Amino acid sequence: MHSKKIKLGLFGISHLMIDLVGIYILFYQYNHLSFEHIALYFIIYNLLAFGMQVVFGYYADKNNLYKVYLVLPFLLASIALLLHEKGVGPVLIMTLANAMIHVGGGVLSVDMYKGKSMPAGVFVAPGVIGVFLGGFLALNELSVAFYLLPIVVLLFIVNYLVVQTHLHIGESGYLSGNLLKLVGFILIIIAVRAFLGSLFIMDWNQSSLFQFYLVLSVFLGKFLGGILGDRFGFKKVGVYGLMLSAPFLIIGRHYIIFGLVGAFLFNLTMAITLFLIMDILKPFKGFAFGLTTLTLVIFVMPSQLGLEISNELFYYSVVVIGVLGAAYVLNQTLKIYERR
Amino acid sequence: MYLLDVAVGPIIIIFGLALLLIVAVVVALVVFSVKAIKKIKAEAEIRDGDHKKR
Repeated sequence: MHSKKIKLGLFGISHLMIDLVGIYILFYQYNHLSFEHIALYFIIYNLLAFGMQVVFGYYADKNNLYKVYLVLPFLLASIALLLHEKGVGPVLIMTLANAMIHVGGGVLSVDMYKGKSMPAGVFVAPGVIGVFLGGFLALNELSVAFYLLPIVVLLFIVNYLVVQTHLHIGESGYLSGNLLKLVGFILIIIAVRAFLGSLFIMDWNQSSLFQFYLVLSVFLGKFLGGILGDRFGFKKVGVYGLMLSAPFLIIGRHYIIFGLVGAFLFNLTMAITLFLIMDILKPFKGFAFGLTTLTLVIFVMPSQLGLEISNELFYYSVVVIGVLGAAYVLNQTLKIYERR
Repeated sequence: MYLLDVAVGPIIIIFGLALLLIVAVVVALVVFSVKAIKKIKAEAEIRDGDHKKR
């Protein structure tokens, strides 16, 4: 039991570290290269690191590559750190590492606790901290590549030793009934969450300290969503949590406490939807993970390309309709899922 | 960072090409996903059918 928790913690830290190194290498070059280069790197990084997980996941499911995907990223990250000032090369290397660790770590984590959404949240949430820390270190021009290298090498060794003895038992026996409908519904919820999440306006979110608070509340929402969902039910935590987030997000545009609570509630559904789609597609959990990240990268893109909602009334309307719509779809999804 | 705000002059060529590339990659990934999910659904239907026969 303890060994499972330690492994889950290790996989979560592994995820944090790969996200940290990837974003650090990407943004470290922000200070040295022209804007258009960085913009291109940013697009390439997001599209490959998140979009390609669907392909990496599918082939991992077919060939049982999860353990390889848990170890290889650290070898790639070591090479990328050694080449961290060499332009697009190390960025591309980190996209591969990132795609692999999500699929490998995600599936091994979820498969350790059958029927539970807790590991999905515990594995994914540390990535938020990794992205924040990576960006913080790079944008403050802190040259830490050679401090990160020993940690990455250590994680390579530890993960290599862990996968030697780790017994991975996958799941089969998934059902065909309502499969496309359920997957479609879950991807709609993820699309709405990604689109809205990328457009949220928090007027108070100007200093690094407040940004850290926001990252912390997003982390806690993702981390606790699965734990609370297993304990109190997906409907209570996911659907009601999402509905409750709407007023907090609206008032939270101007008031920090409301904004932090809103971000926390809004992110509770992440572990639940990730668990549901992996459970529905059971032996294709890696592919299922990839579907969620592909949806994420597509629906975050409008904001990355400059879309923003400046009209306050329109912004509030979009938030309310989006959040309540996603809550309704999640409720319908849970009804069908429970009937199967 | 707002890419469209700076997509003027010579930069638009870079971003124009980049946007085309992005669209192409996204379409390819979506097509791959749809094909894979249809295949997964078909496999499940065959297995469900076998179970019913038994």
